[in-house]
Amino acid sequence: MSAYIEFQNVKKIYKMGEVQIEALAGVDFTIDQGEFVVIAGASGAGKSTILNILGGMDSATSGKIYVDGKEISKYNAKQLTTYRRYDIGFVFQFYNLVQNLTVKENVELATQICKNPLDIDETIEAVGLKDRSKNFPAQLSGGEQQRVAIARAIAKNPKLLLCDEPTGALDYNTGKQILKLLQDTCRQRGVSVIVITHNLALTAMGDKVIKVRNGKIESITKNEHPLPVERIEY
Amino acid sequence: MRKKALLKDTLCEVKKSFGRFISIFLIVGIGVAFFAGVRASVPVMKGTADKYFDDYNLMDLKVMSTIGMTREDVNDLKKVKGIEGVYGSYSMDVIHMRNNQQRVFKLMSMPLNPKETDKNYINQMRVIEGRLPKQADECVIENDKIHQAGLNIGDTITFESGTDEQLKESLKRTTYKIVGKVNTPYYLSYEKGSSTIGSGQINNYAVIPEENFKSKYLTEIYLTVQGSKDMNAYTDAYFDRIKPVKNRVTSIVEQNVDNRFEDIRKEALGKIKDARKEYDNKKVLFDKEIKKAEQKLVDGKEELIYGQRELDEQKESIKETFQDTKEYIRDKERDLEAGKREYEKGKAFFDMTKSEVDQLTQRLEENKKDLASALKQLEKEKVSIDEQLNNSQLEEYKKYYLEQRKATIESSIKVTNGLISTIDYQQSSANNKLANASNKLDESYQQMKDGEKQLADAKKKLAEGKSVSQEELKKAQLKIDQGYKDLEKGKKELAEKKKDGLDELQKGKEKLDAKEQDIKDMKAPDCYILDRHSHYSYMDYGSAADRMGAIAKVFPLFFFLVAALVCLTTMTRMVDEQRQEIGTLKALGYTKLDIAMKYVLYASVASICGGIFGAIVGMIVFPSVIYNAWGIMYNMPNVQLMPQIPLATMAIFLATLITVVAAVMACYKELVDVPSQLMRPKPPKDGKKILLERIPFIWERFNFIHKVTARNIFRYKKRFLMTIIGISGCTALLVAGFGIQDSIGDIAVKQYQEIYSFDMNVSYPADSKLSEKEKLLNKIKQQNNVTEATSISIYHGLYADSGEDKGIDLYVSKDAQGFEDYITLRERKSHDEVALPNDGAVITEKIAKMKHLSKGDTFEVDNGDGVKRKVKIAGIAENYVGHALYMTPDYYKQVFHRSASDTTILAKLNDTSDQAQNALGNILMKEDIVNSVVFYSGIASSFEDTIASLSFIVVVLIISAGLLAFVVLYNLTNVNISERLREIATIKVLGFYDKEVSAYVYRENIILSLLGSFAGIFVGIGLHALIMNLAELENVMFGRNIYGVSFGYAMLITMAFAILVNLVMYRKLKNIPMVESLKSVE
Repeated sequence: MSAYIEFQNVKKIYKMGEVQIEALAGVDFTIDQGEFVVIAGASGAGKSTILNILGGMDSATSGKIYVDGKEISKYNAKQLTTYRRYDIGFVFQFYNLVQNLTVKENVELATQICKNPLDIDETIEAVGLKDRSKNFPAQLSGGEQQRVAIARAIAKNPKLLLCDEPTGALDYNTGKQILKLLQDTCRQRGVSVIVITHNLALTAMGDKVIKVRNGKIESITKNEHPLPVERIEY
Repeated sequence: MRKKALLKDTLCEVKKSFGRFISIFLIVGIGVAFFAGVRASVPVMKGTADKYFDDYNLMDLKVMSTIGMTREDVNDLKKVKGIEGVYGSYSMDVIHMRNNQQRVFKLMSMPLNPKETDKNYINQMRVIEGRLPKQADECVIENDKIHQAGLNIGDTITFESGTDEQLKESLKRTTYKIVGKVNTPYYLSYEKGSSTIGSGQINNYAVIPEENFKSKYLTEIYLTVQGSKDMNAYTDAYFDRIKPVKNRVTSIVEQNVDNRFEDIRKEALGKIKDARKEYDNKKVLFDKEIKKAEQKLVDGKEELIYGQRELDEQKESIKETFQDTKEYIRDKERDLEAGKREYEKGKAFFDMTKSEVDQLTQRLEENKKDLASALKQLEKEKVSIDEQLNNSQLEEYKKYYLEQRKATIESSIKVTNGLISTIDYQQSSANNKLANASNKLDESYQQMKDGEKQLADAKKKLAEGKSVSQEELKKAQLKIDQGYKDLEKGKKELAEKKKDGLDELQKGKEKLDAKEQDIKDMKAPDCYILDRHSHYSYMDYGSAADRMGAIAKVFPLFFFLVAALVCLTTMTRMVDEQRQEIGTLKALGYTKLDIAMKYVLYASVASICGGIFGAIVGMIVFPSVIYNAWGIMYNMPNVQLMPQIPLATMAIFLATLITVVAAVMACYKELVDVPSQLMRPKPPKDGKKILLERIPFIWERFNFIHKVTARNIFRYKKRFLMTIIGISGCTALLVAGFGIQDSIGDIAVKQYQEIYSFDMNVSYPADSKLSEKEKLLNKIKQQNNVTEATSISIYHGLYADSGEDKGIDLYVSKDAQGFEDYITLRERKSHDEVALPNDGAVITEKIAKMKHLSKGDTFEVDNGDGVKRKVKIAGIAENYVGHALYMTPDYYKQVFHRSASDTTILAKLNDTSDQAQNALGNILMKEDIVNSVVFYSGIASSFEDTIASLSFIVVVLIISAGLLAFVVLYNLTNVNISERLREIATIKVLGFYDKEVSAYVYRENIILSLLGSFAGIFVGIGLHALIMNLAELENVMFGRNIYGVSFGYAMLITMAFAILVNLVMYRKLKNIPMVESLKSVE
């Protein structure tokens, strides 16, 4: 049985004028369905590039990427868009909510374009923002905003939830709440969740931890007993 | 050092954000181009005109008087201090017939073979084609771009006076050879003033050598003033230079003219007296003639009556003669009867006599026989006796006895002879008697025969006489009847002649009265010393330039306002993007001024570059385009572009000021923040509930994308304002552009189809004979192509407008019914009929507006006789071309003290094709009294041609509108995209397809564009009204209407511009990298 997600010798080379920068120098890993994966590494290690390529925002220079049996590394721009549309949920470091839309509308923004969205109100309730659904992002705290972002991502009913430093802009407690939400989502809905972080403390909660360094995989660790978020300290 | 670094930074910034730089550059460029370009066109227009005036020595002063000018005046004026050149000129209005149409020419004089340097050669001719006259019989004509009238160099041209007077009396020759086509600064426009002959409008001018004029009086004297050419003719300084000279000229001319006035007045009154005498003579003669003719008629009638009587008598006498003859015949018959009877009687008597005579004759014969036998016996006896006697032997006795016996026998013989002669006598007497009777009978027979013959003759004569006289009588009767007929005809003819004659006399008298009144009214001769303020072409062109100036004041405002808003939004965005840099610089210790300098510098560089570019392009393009556009209506030399540095500097400075202020405003808020605040990302502008959300009915129907759009629209007020103003400006320009076409294009239809319902206008002199006028009207009515025709009076009147006489047509209806359905007098908006009362006149709208007339006001007008009279205004009627005053004949008489006589026939036609009209025109022009035949379909189409040339305005407006829309929308989209980069990247990450992304962004643009263009419609209506008011010609009223479809076009084109910009920006949108969404908020 092949893996749900598979990277085979994926390279990404950026050309900056004459200089070629190798962001990814041949990356191989697999992720199973319903797994909670933490990709960790220092700034510039290449973790964001992995996320971009996996999220269909960027394409690899070479190598193959399979997601749910499809080779997305062959996709053109339009197919990538469709892939993002139906298969990916994205949680950004800076939430990236549309300021001019209320909480509910921000969620709607995502659900309107996908095939089997979850019920919006239930999703908002699930992230604990039932009372704020008519508020604008500016009226919410950072954690609340990130929860809206998660709700937006989950409501699309994606195969894959990609989170780029989801706690990066949040304080400790709020960050924990968010991580809990992500973990619960993974456990309850069986969605593969991939969290990117430079915070190695978070690795303890992942089913699988992929460490990246200088565009290469440093290590892939399977964690047989991931800790619940509550017990993680960082 | 610092400054150098900043400058370098700024330049790098320009390179980095070239799109932003370009948008400021462009909008400033456009703004400055419009502002400086449109404004510069006014000085260019005036400057080019001034140069033209100077080059061709246009008069500074024109001197005229009501009694003409003389050579002495010219000599006196030459001596006046400050006068440079003097030219005594002749001019007159004449008519040239061409293609069935009268064209009124202004005939002007010029010196033969003039030198251009001659200071006395004023109002010089600019030869466009050919040359100036070299001989007295040559002429040059106006180079008329529109109405060439088919006259070419080498043709001959013949003029007529257009009045009763022969042109030969005022000109040495009336036919000239055309040797050239010219323009002159004296007549810049096609409007050359009004005339009292022909159509009332001067169509063209022609210039002939001055020696052709016979008059001893000069029409006008042109003067130039020393040093006036150094001034721009459209400045006060010029008039300051003219004024003292004008005053000196005035005093001299007034004195000269006053001196001459008395003589002329005397002469004129003398002339009137003579004319009156002549009139009286004419009247007496006429009366005599009429009386004579009447007497002749009476005589003729009497003669006829007498003839009839005679004829009757003759009839009677013939009848009598017949009677007599008949009686005579009867007598004769009776006589004949009697004669016959007598004859019968005579015959019976004759018969009886004859038988008596026959019996007697028989008896007498018998007696005679007896006697003869007895005699014979006796003779025998005698013979025997004689024998016995002769026998001598006879005894005496026996002898005796024998003797005896012989005697007895002899006596017996004697007796018997006697008896026989008695019987013979008896016989002859009986024969006589019988012969008598026979004679008598013959006589009576003859008599009877004669009678019979006489009777037959008489009868024949009677019969003959009867037939002959009957015929004669018939003939005589016919002759008399004919006589009566002739008499009737004569009577009619006389009546007509009398009517015509009386009419003519009446007219003559009225004319005389009026003339005398005029002379009496003529207080003192008026002198006119006119400077260029009274020179139509100068003023007209100047006001055109001023109107342009007024447009120039309003027009570029749009662009400046939009430029300010564009700069403000652009700079705000720029400052927003560079918050952190500002914070850093501030933290590093740069002062606010230093930091602001960067943005001010950026804005200034963009503005100055754009401004210079705009000024150069604008000040070349706009003055040329505008000058040439006005050139359609004026005969002008090529444009003289002049650098107008102050204007350009001012425009660039203003534009830069605006952008700098915008830049300062944009960074002011950031500069007052503390650095730490600035280092942190600026919180995105908060989402807010908008008003629309309070109307759940609408809001709930929106899907969320519409909601985002709606919120976005109201979120950025500056951008909203900028777009609305810019787009509304775009639509407004288009609405104005199309509106101009609608309003102007409409005139011809409204004027020549709705207001004038007639198709043809046939004019003839007012003083033609009534009978001829009637004949003409009947002839016109009989034409197949004519459906209806009527006659009215049109006089070419004048009214005073700031010291100058201008033309107005006086329409006098045939009767109190008004103009019926030939001319529609109606109110423009409501289309309510305007009644034509008997105590006031209806005036047309344009002149009413110009002279501020309303119902009940009075208006002074001259019907062409030289005296202004007051007319009461009873109503104002819609009209587009020309000015007119409508009145009833009664009111006309009341005002002008004379009755109107018709001058024009208006007719409606079946077929208005060129062929049909030419055919009709040819027929009518053969009539002697017809002056001109005008078909309105021709006028309407040539008018449309002229107006169509104004469509350049529409093109200029569309281009301007396009530029405006493009810059605004480009900028809006640019700012929108750069500001919402994260948002757009995010929705891309969320999986929006490119089309959905662009729809997400552009929906806003489209809605703003729609809103803007909707607002633009109202702005456009205002702009249209403004332009129409400013651009309107003096004797044409433009419509004020804009068709619904034009609004549609304006909006469609605006939206097309919007879509075009969106398409251009689509690429940029597509290329936004999604990675942007991962970046932190800057």
